[in-house]
Amino acid sequence: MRYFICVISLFLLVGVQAQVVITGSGKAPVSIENFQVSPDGKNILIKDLQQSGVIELVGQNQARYRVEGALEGGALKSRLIEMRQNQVIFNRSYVGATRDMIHQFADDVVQAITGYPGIATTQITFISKATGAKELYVMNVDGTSVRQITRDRSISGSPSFSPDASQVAYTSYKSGYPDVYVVNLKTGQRDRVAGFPGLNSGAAFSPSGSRLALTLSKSGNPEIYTMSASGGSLVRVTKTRGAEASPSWSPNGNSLVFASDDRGSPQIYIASAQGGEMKRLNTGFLYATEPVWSPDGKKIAFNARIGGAFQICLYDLPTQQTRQLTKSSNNEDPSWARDSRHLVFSRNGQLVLLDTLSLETYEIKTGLSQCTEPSCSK
Amino acid sequence: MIAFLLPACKSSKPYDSSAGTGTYDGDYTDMSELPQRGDFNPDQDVDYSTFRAGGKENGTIYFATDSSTIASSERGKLDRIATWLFQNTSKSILIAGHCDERGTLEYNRALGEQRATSVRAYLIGLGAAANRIYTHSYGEEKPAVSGANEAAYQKNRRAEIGVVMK
Repeated sequence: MRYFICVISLFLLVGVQAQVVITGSGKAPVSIENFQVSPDGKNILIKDLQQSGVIELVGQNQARYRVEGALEGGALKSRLIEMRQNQVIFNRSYVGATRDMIHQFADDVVQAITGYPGIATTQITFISKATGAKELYVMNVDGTSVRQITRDRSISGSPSFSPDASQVAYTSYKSGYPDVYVVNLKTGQRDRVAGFPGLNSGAAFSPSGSRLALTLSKSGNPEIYTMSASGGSLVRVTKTRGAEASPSWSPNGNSLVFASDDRGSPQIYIASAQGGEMKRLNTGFLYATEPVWSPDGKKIAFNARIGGAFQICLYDLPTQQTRQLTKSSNNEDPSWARDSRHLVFSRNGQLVLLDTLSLETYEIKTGLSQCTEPSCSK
Repeated sequence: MIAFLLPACKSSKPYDSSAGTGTYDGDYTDMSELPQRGDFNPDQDVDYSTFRAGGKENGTIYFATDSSTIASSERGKLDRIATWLFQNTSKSILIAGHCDERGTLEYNRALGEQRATSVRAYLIGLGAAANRIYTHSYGEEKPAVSGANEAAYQKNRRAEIGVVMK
C-alpha cells in the first residue's frame, strides 16, 4: 500500500489496479492535458471534476492520471490515462451537445478512478415562482438547459424524479385540489395518479420505479401510503393521530423515512413500506422534517429548525450520530445526488450544491428567482 | 443492513388512549373518512363571508405554532359553526388549513390539512354531519398577512371555514 496525501491508497487488485480508494475528503490527482474543446469545454470539465469532490486538478508532474480530449467531426474523442504505468484506462467517443458530452466524460473519469458515480450528468427538478406562480422546472446540475415543464399558473410542489429520470411526480393545485401528477418529460404527457379526497402530496418513486410513497388524508388525517406509480393498489403505512409527510424510500425499497408530528413537534421516523411500527430517529432537534435517504442507504439528510432558521443536517444510520452541515442563512429541502456525498437544497430561494464531506458549497445559477424543493436524478 | 428496520409488521399494539405515542396504533379507530369530492372548485366556489358577517371572525380558527389542537379560545366559534350546520342542512362547508411561513413547504401542506381535519373532527364531535364537511390545505402558500414577525405568523396559522356555493 502506498499513500497519497495520507488518505488515498493504491488499490492493487487484478483488474482494478488503476483505481484508487478515496476515503474521507481525499482526492485523486488528475491533470488535464490537450483538452481542445472550444470555446469553454476545458472550463466545463474543470468545474465538473472539481465539484466531484474526489478529484484534485494538478500539474502534469504531480498527476497520477491524465485526461485528454478533442472534438472530431462533432464527436468528443477522449482518453483517461494512468500515468505511472502509462496505461490507457479508457478511450471513448461521445456524441451529442458539447456540454453533455463533457459532463458524461467527467462522470466516466470519476467512476473509473474512484469507483464512485460522478454527478456532472445529474438533472434537477425544482419549483420556481419566477413567473409569479409556482411552476415545475428541470435543468442540469450546472444550471444549464433550464426547461419550464408546467404553465398552470397554479401551485406546483414537491417534485421528484423516477429512477430513470424520464418522469417527474409532483403535486399540483391546478384542478383546485392538491393532487399528485406524473409527467413524462419526453412526451409531455401528464397523468393525475392520486386525486383522493383531501390532501394528495409529497410523492416519491420507489427505487424500482413501480410504486410511489405519498401523503394522503382521505382517512381523515394526513398519513403515509404507497401506491402503484400508475395509480391504485394502495397500502397504508402509518396510522397515527399526527400528520405524516415527506416519505423517502430506503435504497432496497423495504423501508420509508418520513416526518411525523404524532408526538408534538415534527420528528423523523422510519417504518416498513408495508406498514407497522414507527421507529423514531433521535436527531436531537425539536423540529426535524423533509428527510431523504441516501442512495448508499447509510445516511438520512433532513431539515432541522435551529434558532428560527432551517439548517441541513445528516443522521448517520450506522453510528446514530447527527451532524449539522449548514450554519447560516435558511436552508431547506435537501436532496441526495447519486454519489451519496453531495446534496442539493434551496437557500433563500437559490439552489445550492453542497459537498457533505468538505462542506464546500456551489451556487447553481439558474437565472430564476424563488427556487425551492429541488430533487436530483439518480 | 440496518437491524432495527427489519422488525416490520409486528403484532399490533393495543390502542393507547394517549394520542401521540409515535407508534402504529393497531386497534386505532380511524378518524372520520373524508367525503368524496364535491362538484366544486375550492379556489372559486367557496364563500368565506358567511361566518364573517357583522365583523365576526367565527370562520377563522387560530392555532399555536406547529399545532393543530383546537384551543379553548376557538371553541365558541366552532359551536356557532356547528349550530349553523344544524340549521342549514342542505349546505356543505370547506375548511381550508393554512400555516405560517416558518415550516418547510411539504410538512406545512400536511400540517395545514391536519388543522382542517382537526377542525372537522371537532365539528363532527359536536354532532355535525361528516359528509358535509370538506377539508383543504394551502400549506403556507396563502398567508392572510405578510410579514416575518410573530404578529403576522399568528394570523397566518389558521383554518378558514367557508360555505360551498354549489
